[in-house]
Amino acid sequence: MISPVAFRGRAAPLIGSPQAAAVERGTRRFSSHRAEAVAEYPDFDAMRRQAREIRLHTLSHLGHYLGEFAANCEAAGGRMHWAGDAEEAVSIICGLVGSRRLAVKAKSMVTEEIELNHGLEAAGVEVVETDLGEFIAQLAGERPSHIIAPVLHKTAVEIGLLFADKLGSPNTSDSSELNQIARRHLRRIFLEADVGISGVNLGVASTGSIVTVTNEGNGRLVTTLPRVHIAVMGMERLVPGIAELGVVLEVLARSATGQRLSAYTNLVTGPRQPGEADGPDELHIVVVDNGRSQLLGGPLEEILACIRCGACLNVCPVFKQVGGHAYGSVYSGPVGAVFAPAVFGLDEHGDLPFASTLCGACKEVCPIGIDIPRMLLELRRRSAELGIHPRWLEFGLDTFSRAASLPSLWSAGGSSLTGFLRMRAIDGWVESLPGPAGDWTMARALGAPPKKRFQARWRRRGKG
Amino acid sequence: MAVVQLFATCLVDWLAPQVGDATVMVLEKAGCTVAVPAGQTCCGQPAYNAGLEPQARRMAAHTLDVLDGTQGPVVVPSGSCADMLIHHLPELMAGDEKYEPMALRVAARVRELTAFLVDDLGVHDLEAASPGKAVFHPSCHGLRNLGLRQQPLTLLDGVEGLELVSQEGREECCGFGGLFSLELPEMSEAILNAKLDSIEDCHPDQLIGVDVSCLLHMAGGLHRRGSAIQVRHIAEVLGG
Amino acid sequence: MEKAEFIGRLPRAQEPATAPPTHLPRFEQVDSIVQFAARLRSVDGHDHGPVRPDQVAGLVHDLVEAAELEAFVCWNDVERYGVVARLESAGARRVSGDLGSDDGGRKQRLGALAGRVAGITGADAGLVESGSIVLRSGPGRPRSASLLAETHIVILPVVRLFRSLPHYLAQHPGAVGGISNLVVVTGPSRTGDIEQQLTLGVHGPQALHVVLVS
Repeated sequence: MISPVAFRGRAAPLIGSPQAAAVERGTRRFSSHRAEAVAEYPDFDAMRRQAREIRLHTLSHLGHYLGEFAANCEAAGGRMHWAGDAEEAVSIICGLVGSRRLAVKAKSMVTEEIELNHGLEAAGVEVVETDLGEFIAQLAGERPSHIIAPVLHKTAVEIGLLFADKLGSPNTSDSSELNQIARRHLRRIFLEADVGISGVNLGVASTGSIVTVTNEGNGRLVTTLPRVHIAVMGMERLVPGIAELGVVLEVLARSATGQRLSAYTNLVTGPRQPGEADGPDELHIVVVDNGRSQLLGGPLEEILACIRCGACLNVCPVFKQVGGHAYGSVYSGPVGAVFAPAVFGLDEHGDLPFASTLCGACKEVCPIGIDIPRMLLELRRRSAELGIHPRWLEFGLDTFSRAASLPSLWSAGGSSLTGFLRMRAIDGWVESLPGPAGDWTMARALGAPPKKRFQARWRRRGKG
Repeated sequence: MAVVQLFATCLVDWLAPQVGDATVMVLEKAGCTVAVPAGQTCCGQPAYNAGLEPQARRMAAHTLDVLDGTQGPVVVPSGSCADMLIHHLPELMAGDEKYEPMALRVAARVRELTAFLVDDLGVHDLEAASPGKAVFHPSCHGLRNLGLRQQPLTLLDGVEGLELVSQEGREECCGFGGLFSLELPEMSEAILNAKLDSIEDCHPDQLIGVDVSCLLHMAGGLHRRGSAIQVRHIAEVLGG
Repeated sequence: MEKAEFIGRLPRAQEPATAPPTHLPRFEQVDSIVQFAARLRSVDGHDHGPVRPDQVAGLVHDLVEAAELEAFVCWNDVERYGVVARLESAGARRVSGDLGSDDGGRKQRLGALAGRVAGITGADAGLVESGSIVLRSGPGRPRSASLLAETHIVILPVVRLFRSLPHYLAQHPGAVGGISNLVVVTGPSRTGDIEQQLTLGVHGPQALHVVLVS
């Protein structure tokens, strides 16, 4: 069982680092672009309400829509595969890749989640990430730090040095030169690759289509050039039909980057059809559960409605200070603080629901209006039941609650505590406190409380 | 004028009693007769936000025992505690034969101070004066859970001599977060510093807020910076 | 896991479902052509025209020449504007977008498409609100023409302008039927992955031209 302060150990060293400063700049920029896009739209809230209704409806009938999606995908010549957990998903995909040796990949959270690259590499397959940010993260041997901007934490100078070291390119920190270096390098790999592996932003039940939303075009290359395309899809990613897809796409890019639409909104329905010039000869869709289905019908179901735009990360005061690495999970920020413990368990991620001030900014910007604070509280309750809090805290709050239900004890306790604070105060300020309370004074001073509490003043006034 | 019940909150009671006095003054200026229900302690929010449900329920039950027997609006000079009383107590007591109906009754009567003044009483100008430049911090729970966006600004607008300037990222969290401020102090401090930077950039004479909790946290940070900015609850400004 | 087992575990798996009705966004009245062009420019695309059908071939030729490209891949649809003849007579070489079915040949043909090539396509729709174009795959319509090419030139009749993606999809519920790919292209390929500096042409075309035809 993890302590709720485990997050502290990962986050504290990142605070104030150059990486954190880059995250702060990046998230601020995303947020202001989002705000502009939302302000320009005639009635964004009306679209959000529709998008929410669509996603919640889909989740409450997920079995039905998965069945419909599978039938339509197969009718278009695609093949469906069903994975109960990460291990099964990796083994299915390794089986599909078979003896092919080079795979190109488009950015996908679910493949990160199931640690697919690790599994494929162990099977002797070379896997190349092709999203520029993911490619950089892979070269650096790091995990992505943001849902839609994987190397938000890295500077151009660092990336230039990394390219020079790993690709033998001339050292530069010019982002467009770095981009060209990556383009040339990856083009060669794209043309050679035998398998393309992508995630799925959304699946359309009524047509069996899968939708990927990208800006770079790598998502299209991965799903078009290699002979075999394997799409890995979290089981919750569906919309009922094309009209519903239109609504959800209307809020997705605007919330993510402030774009009206991303550069490429790509719908794939089956493999290359008879008579078509190009496209893959085989399309496989691997549907992954890996802990998701246990949320259906329960108080945490709503987190599955997430469309992975990352807007909640960009407004989260906690995320903005440190970026995604502090979360110790593929899914970070407010959505990750619910998704990771809910789906993968409190044992491993029980600290994340506490990594929030409950300010509610996440819920305010979510294009689906997901009530993240409510679910953080639900997970805190479950964690507390498992005895996750440090003993001093639980003991402290228990004592506090007993005193608070007994006014005489409350008076006595409050008097002696405030008296103690006054005693330690110098010129009206308490600068240090012993024990766990020292964590308060470590971060800020505490104004010394006045001698008479409000209720005493009030009673005195009544007499006077 | 009808009687209003003042639920002062535990932080005001013990750490900022002057805010309680000022709230009484403001309510009386607005024509109310103020009562302070005896035996009030804490609404239970600290335990609730920690996930410690039995402890939260214990405090909530006591608070309901204190408030349910009274009449008229229950006014709270804190968006966060008002949110707890309005939204979370009914949730916490759901299914409890005795306390659920009490929680629903009380929730229907609870008002945050500025919402009560502006929305219920239609008061915009309390004839207060407070010369100088000020920034306002809208605390998150009041802002997002109770929709308190305009009410405090409307009231501050009526204060003579007060020049209100908007700091960058005004609606962003100050990093207090209750328990959060103790469990993740470095993070809390980092968020606080970002907030204080944007406030100091405005060179205000005072920082005005609607929640003593966030204000204690920000005042403690400003003190560490050697800042001369005065930190005041909105009731102190309106009562003056 | 088998499909039946996977789905069977889920709540209400056997119940039918009817999706809630959707409502189209309501935008202000605008001049479609002017707005489309402005929005296309805002995503770093280039608009041309509207021109008469007989002016298309000349315009496309000028664009290919200006980009100093000597080869092109195109959709069969655009032949009706005389584009192929015009380019070939100017010495440009047409590359086939058909990958064939043998694996070895596939990679070789892809290589030819990935060089300094212009991609010339028609479009099924233009989206006024976002400055996007909609491309549906099909026989004679290679996906790579809008993907591997260095410069992508789109020929779009103005009668195919729709207000937004939801409007287009609502009017064409069968838009994805029978074809493997429908792509909505909004400006040239772009990334902000390095310090959020906008860079064009990371994987897909580095330039996007839309020739509007009246």
